[in-house]
Amino acid sequence: MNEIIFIIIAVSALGIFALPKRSQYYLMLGTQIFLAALTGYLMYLSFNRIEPLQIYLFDLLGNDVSLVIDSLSAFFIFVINITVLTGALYAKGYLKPYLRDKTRLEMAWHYFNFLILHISLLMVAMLREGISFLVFWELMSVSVFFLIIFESEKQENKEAGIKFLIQMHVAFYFIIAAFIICSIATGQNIGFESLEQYFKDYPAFPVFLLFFIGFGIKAGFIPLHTWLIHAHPAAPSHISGIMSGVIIKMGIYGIVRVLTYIHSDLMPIGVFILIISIISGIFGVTIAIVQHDYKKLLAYHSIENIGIIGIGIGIGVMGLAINNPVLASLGFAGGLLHVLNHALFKSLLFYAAGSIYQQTHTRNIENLGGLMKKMPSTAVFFLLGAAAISGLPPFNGFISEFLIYTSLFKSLMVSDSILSVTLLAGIVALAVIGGLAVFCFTKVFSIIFLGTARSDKTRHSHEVRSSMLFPKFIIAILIIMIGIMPFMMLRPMSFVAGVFVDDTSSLRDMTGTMSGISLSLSLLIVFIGILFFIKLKLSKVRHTDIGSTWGCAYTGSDPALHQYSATSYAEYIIMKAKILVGVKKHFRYLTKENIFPGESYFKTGSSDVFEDNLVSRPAGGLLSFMEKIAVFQTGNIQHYLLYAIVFVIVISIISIFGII
Amino acid sequence: MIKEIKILKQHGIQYVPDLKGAVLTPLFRGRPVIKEQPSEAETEMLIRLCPSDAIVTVGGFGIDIGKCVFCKECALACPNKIEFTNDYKIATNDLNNLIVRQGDSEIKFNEEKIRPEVRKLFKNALKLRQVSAGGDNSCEFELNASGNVNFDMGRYGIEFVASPRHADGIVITGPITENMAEALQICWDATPGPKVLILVGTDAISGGMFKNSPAVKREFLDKYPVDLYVPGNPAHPLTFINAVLRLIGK
Ligand code: SF4
Repeated sequence: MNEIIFIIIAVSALGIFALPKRSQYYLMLGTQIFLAALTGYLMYLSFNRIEPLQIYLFDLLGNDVSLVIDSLSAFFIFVINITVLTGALYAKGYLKPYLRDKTRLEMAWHYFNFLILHISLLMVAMLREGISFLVFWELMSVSVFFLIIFESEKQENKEAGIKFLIQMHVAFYFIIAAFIICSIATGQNIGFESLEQYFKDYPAFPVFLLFFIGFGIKAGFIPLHTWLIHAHPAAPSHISGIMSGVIIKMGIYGIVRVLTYIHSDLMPIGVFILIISIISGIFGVTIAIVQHDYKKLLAYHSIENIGIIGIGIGIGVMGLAINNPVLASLGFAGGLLHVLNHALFKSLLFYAAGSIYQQTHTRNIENLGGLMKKMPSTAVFFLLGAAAISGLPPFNGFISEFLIYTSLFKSLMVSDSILSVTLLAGIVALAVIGGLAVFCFTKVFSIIFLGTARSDKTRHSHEVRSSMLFPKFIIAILIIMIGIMPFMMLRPMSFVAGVFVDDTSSLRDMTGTMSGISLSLSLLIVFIGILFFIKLKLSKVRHTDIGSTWGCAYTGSDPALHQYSATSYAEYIIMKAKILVGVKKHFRYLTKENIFPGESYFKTGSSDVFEDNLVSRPAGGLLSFMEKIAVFQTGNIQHYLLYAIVFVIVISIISIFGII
Repeated sequence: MIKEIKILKQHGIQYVPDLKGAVLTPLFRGRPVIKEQPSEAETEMLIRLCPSDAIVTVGGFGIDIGKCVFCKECALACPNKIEFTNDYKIATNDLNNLIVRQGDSEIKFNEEKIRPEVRKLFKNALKLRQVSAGGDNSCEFELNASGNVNFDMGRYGIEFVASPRHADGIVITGPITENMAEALQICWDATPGPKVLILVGTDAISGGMFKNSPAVKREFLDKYPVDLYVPGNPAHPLTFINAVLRLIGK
């Protein structure tokens, strides 16, 4: 049976190369649906089992490699399949304009990598044996690299891809190092199984830290996030959505998987995760506000949401540490539910962003405006995603944040004073993050969709084809469903939290609260519906004038110039956030020579302080050092022969005098 | 605290308690009165004297206060025949009523010309957007004063707002210069209907001293009916407030 499935997948993956350009996509989609159905079935089998489901695959260097699926894996399989499938559906329309310019091989390579990515994501979530896990982990990074540089004719995309590849390998070494330490110390094979024994015998924190850095680079915790903010904008939008939706979540998966084996040092680990997450959350959203590139902005929001997820997990770990099942289950359930929620609304936002990019060919929000009239459906989906990511009811972001808030407030009651301060910081941070996120999305939405178009391309854009709207529709339905029927998620989340804690009854006790939420939200929706209906009726009776957007009656060449710009809207926050974001202004002073001043310009840009100091500066230093050394590399054969002779002479002198 | 109370006491009552019955200083130049028909020669002289062609001869001698800049030169030239009173209620909604003739004791309002929806919708709240279409800032100052603590027209629900989107009408000052003509049109179009159009100051009503300037472009006024003319150069806040109250029927 296994062999047949292997052969089917391998044949269809390679078959992509044999097909003509237009049918490659369907083979990829078909294979992905097959994969999703297969893993979906496994997920169904494994949910709510006490013992994880094990399927023997093959023998690798004397080790049994098998799929091990517990509720945690099953949960991630669900997230992966949902996001990848909607991404694949969306890709059809998104890639259409590229079909003309790209060769058959280039398209096939893209689809092939997409498929490999799906497979490796699923395998990473299911494998426990070390070597095969690492192979698929690496395969995941490499396939993503090729997906990022799809538009490799642009230099910045290539650079972003290479940045990604380098940082993924740094991460990879940390993970390998951690695995090897565990393996050597316990004498077991490399793999997650060895962790159990290791963490029993040795202090957990140092090795956990290695794992955290390794997986944390993938997840994008600040200050390990610098690849993410370049890779997300560079990748084609269906890939950005998947990257933000699941690939960075595999970092979270790695961290929580490691956490399942840790039973000591839990308190410092919990506090550590909480603090890093608070920093990621607040810094992520603050830097996001400053961004002009909407995809980069969404990338910073991914960091913020990783922070929110981390806060939940941190609370969960602290709950384990003080042996409080209520805390632990609520924290883990909240954090991990946010993994799903973030995958949903972030991919929705990225798909909407992709639609905007396809129509306007710009990623700078200062060139957009007035798109609500041109692309009404995209606008509605974007607004829905924006409301969800800001944690507003009645959408799913609210539910997971509610769980995390509940756990934080509950933990305040049981903890001692020093701990309380940390937890209080968590509550404040979550509130601040929420507020700033709302601010940020009012900015993005209003600048992109409201007002008047700020460029010609924007003026002539229109709604995308329905094949690009359909996947957004599916995601939107899921977002609303989780939002207004949160009790539905309690049972599955209690299974997931059950991987960490035995007693998850507190989650099930939330059913009453969740039903209350659901009832009040339904009432809210009904109320809004009634208001809307009344408005509709009234506006039918009354005469409505339709005119252009009010721009202070500015009669200059371009009325768009008179609108709020993204920078002016966010000016206050930009001023406050100067330590985090280096805001740079480039301009020429006006000269006084003539009565009418000549042409001038003004440009602002921002940079990430962490990236400047942790990556750019050391890398720059290394590069200039290398350049100094490169004086020896003259390209002249005589010089190289001279080096060889000098080397031989030096060696012989050394050996004559018996130094070596 | 005591210091503040002292200051308050020192300042006394700041606001004008009765906006409709307030009496202005005799020095104020309000409604002119023609006590006696000037002679032919005098009329001739006055026409030459008047800087803004406000002297009307068709249908008998008269002064068009829609054109008059209240310089008082005519009254000084014929002190027995022309006099300026301190009556500030000189606004009307009918252009013909702006001409003062012998025997007139008030500027009449044409009640029939008032649109019914103006009374119905704006009686309790009227938000206005001001457009200075080449104004000299005098009328604008007075309009500003209409909303301050002294005159406080806000007590009747009349206010100036920042955007035409929030406004029920537009108040124009200035002779409408070419450079402001398009902006005025955009602003008018951006105001949701039903809306009122109010002209404040001689410049706005007739172009005043600038009516023959090539920089003035007044086609806008041909297109839309004007609801209220508020003469004055500049118009007094009490003139403006009483005019608006009259218009909305308060
Ligand atoms: S007061 Fe009026 S009518 Fe008399 S001269 Fe001056 S502008 Fe002409």
